[in-house]
Amino acid sequence: MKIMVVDDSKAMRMIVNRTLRQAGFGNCEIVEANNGKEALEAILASPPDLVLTDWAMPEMNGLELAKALRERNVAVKLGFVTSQGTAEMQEEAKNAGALFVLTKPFTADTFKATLDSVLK
Amino acid sequence: MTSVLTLEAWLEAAIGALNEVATSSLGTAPIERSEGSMPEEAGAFLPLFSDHESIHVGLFSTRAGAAALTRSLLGMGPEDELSDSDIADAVGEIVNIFGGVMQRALHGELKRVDLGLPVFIWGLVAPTERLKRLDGGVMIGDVPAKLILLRGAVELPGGKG
Repeated sequence: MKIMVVDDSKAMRMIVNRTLRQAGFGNCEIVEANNGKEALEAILASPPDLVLTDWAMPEMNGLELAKALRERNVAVKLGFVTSQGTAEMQEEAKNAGALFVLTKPFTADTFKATLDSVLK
Repeated sequence: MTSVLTLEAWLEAAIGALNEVATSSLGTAPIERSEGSMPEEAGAFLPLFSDHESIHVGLFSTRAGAAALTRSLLGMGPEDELSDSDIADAVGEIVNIFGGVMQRALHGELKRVDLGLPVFIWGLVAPTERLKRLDGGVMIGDVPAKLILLRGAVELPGGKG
């Protein structure tokens, strides 16, 4: 299984990686992208099984990434891992095709519960 | 629901949010408030925008303190090397995370709170007369730190003047 982590913060990519391992996804191939634009190119070249993306990023943000994938009919599972989690954003994320929004700070348990449910 | 909070209310929200981040992401004991003089050599600001104003919330410490917070966030040991860039990125992320917690905590009190992107600063913060400032000293585990709230004295368009 391949999981893509999209975040402009190297620190946050490291934390998501570590949390994935703690949540039992250590055997997965984990690839990274710095922003939505970089992620989109990589996904079109080789789609992962799941995309975990930040919301606010330079170049192309997470919401724009989700919309771009939907416009291109790329059937990849996508969820947000973000600091921002208002009801309006949850709705926007859902409308753009996101399966979930995980808000920071998160735990390995919340990661496991969420990812297990979408990767069945 | 109100349109403007006092700086004291913003500071209380920031302390509550920082405590949540400290005890989860940073793995420290609950933060303690401190009345002593706290350092502001290195830290990050995050802008928060409500309907009628912009607030900057900052977390500052010494360079060593910022490095210690970075190591806590990333699960690193004291022997692990950190670049200035690593510290800037991680402290910016800490501020970003607790800004998100503040956003959710203030949801019932303000119509909306939007987050900007964190900006890391090496050195003293020198606000002008156009900014009101309120500080709150805290201990995050063994790290002395300071929360700094800055509010523009000029309200955003649509404010009540």
